[in-house]
Amino acid sequence: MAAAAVPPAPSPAADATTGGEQQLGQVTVEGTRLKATRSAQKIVDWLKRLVGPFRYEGSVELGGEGASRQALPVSGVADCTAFGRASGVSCTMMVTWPEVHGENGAQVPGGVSTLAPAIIQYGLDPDHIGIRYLQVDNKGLANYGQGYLVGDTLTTTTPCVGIEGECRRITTIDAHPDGNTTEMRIDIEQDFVRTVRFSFVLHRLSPGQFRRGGGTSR
Amino acid sequence: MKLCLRFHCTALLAMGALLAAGNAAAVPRDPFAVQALEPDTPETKEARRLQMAHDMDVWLRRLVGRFRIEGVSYVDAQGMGGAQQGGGGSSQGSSQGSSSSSGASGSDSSSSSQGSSSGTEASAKTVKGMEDCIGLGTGAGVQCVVNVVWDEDWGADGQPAEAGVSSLAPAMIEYGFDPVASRISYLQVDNQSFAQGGAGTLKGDTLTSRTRCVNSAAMPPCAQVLRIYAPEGASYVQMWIDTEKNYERTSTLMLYLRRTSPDDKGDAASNVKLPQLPADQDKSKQNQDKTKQDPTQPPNPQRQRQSAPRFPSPSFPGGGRSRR
Repeated sequence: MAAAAVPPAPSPAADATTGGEQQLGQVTVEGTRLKATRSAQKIVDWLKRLVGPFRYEGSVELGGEGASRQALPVSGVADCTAFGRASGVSCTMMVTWPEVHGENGAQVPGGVSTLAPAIIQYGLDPDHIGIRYLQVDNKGLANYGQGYLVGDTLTTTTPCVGIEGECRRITTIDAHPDGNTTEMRIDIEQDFVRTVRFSFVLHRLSPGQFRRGGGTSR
Repeated sequence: MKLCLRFHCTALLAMGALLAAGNAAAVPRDPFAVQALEPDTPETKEARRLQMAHDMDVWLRRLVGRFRIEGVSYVDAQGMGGAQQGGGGSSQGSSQGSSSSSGASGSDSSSSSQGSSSGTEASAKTVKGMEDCIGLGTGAGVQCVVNVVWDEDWGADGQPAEAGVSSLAPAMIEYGFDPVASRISYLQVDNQSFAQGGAGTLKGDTLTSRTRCVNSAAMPPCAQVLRIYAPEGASYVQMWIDTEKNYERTSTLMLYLRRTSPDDKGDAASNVKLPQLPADQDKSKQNQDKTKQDPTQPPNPQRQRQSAPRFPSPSFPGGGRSRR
């Protein structure tokens, strides 16, 4: 399916460059609407990709749009175990990045890792053919998510936890079909402006690598 | 005679109330005085929120530890009737960790039925099990592995009876809280990997949550009401899990969790009869079957009996998790 926005044909005058900016005469936007999977078996197969030991890489981008951004390197490990007949998943993770504080030691959203340790539990939502999960961090804060699987990606949008005001947390988890790599992105948007982006890439480890600490420098 | 006695009691109460009203009338009171004295300012709201966050943090830590579970799985008489009308065997794994649908068959040993399990009278069964909860880091997050069993009750059509089969054998439950919304969130993943979660409010020492039953899309309106009572300094925690269908309670799972030592293995002492795998079954074939099973379909009773409960204990290099 494609959506196109075609404004009326511009007059020649409108094509002229004004004030250093060129006005476009025609803008075409195309997109494809992806449908959420309605197959419970596909969800089960997707959940199975999350099972096992993983090494975390990635970055945490602090600072809102327009503000000076700061990318902090992420390291860590996670161990995810299957649970139940259809592969519910329970993960324990230890993910850290360099601590950043505001002026006078003030807390900055995302400045200090709360994922060391944290647990996250995934299960089937048979009523909506979706996935429910709950992440509890080392402060005890619970992020509950409920969403649908589109392709290989689970996307959820939930209210922020522990942050007042208009704030939402958009999580996308893309588990590659080979099961060796999972990309996870979490955006925190306050007043519709992104303030933090957590970009994690999870690489599958062998059990031996995991016992040695996942090859991280911690 | 009884009627007369009731009349006298009512009259006495009424007289007492009049006397009390007369005394109260001596001291004029403004019925809106309380509201006038304590306006809800942003400061008081914030103070209340902080207090609630503290209370939730303290309360959640009471769930940590190893518990031996005893209790009762009770099926209401009307609930069984309701299930017969609305369930039709289409549901399983609903709520309270007990699969539910119509039909019932007899049970043995520890079940103490108050009537026959013919589908018209109430019944109660003895419940036993263990729970192991660990705290997460230094925060108030809690992760529990629970294993609760009772005598299985299957219908003639191969479907589990109302609250006939435990889906908490085993299950994982995770608790955390939201200090801004003043709620405690939890997610329970049962032995069929069905996730049921929600948020509850803490009043005193009791957490109360009401959620929709899991896997109940084809059922009449179905809700699960969870109540957890964890008093300060007590060596026990109590849980009530009610299932309501068509706005009427159909079953209740009452659990008494007695704190025990971390070394308590529980199995022998609590006389939990774990389902046994048939000796002549090919295990690899079972695994294949499990992966092919559509989780949204009602379980095969034979397969259900084969799922051996276990206590998964995800270990973590470096000792990231801490027991409190």
